[in-house]
Amino acid sequence: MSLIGGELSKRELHFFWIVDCSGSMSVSGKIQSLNNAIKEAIPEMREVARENPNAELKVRALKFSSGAEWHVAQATDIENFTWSDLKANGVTDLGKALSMLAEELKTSVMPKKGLPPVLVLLSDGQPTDDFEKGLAELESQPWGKKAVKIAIAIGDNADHEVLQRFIGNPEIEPLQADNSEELTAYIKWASTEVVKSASTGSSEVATEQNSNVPRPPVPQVTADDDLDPNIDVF
Amino acid sequence: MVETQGDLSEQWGLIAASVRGAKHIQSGLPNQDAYQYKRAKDYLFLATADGHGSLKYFRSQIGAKLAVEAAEEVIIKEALVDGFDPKTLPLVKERVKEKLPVRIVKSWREKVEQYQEDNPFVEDETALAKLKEIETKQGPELREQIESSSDGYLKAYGSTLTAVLVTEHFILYLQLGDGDIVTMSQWGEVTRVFADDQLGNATNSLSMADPAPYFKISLTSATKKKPNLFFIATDGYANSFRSEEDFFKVADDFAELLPKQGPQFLKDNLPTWLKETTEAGSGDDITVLLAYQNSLLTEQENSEEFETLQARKDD
Repeated sequence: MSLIGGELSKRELHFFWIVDCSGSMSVSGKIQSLNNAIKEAIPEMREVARENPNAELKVRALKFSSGAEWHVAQATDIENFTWSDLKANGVTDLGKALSMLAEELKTSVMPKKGLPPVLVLLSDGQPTDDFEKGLAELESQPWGKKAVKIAIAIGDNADHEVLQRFIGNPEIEPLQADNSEELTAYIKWASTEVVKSASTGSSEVATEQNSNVPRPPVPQVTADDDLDPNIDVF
Repeated sequence: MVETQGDLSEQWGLIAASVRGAKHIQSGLPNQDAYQYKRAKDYLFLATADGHGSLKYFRSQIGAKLAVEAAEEVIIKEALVDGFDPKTLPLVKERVKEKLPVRIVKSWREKVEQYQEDNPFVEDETALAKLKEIETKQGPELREQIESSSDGYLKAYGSTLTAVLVTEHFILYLQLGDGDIVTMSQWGEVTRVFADDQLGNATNSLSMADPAPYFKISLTSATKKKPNLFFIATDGYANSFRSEEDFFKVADDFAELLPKQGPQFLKDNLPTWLKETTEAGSGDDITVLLAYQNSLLTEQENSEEFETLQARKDD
């Protein structure tokens, strides 16, 4: 006998991209910048996962425009995760996306002993459906409340108030990406540094604000938009 | 089966082990768990504590050690007032519920304060390095709060606490924050004493502003509900298993191995098993204290004799 007890398991960390694919995301190369940034981030996410062998990083992606749909429905091990480009078209049904997310965060579906899930919302506009209903459904789930929530506002027209309410913590503001370089930096930060922090599983005292996972420092991007022709300005 | 009435030190066996988590080894963190036990004629006491792992709790292994010490001093002192006399049960329940958490917290804070006085951050290179790292990663405000506010230093010592006291008449279970107390009844039924309501990394802690209301306490009759065995463990153990059933199987395996292989076999192997468990599981520190009734050790023998007799009869 080599061990006692039943089957052992690493702790699962579920990561969700929640991506705005409304028509405005096609303007100024926003959706393509997003696709490129996520593709660039994947190898770095794999590296982060390898550095922490006691966590299993599983990734999914949800897209919303006129309605919402799973882009990657199956929780996929990061080693096998690939990104196919999203296209932008339609309106901004964020409420529907949050309702679908809430379904997947039910304690009956998620592993009870898992690490807090990481939810990364990217949007350039304002919800066109019942955002309140979707948000209420998300927050009614224990994992919806305990998740690490990051929001990235893309361009000038993103609704910061909505993104702030999604985060649910006044001390953490949405990140503002005004160009492709900033968007790439924030996407990489959310998918590596935040994942690293969430996957340690280190205990935090329950009653402190933002206590589930400490948020790592946000990258400072110093892009000179006027000089670099490769940077898309949103 | 011969049971020594009234001498709990002869009725109960104890096995304890604590291992540094695989992730702690990787990141250079110490084992932040602590445990303590005491076996006397009229009581059996066990406690574990799990110091929080995040950066700002950089003295949590000290906090955990002081937590089990405070628990032992306070709980045993309370128990010895009247030996938890069953005639005074309602009063005992009230006293335990209202006084114990407050007194444990007070004792822990006094111990931490004394330690802090003897070992201020400014004279400790490790503490200063951690404070610097906190400032860089989480902002100067947090460093300021830990270093300069009146009881901000308490945060650095944050820890959970789990304790059990067995007397002739009662068993007291007590818990603050994550961790598990698992019992096996005389009929082999395995249960948790307190529901596992923790989700994620957030836990109640001795370093909270007012932790006393968050203690979970259960006082049960030792004559009616005495378990055959029970174990207390820090959460790194349960977090290493695929499911609750897989975790509960630990109790089944203890109950099977004790009579077959003897306590020494478990004592010798438990650290290795826990090391393998943290590596393949949570990566967290794991501490386990197992208490079993010594009568369990002879049950296998009796059962084998019975089977032999049955076999002869069948022939």
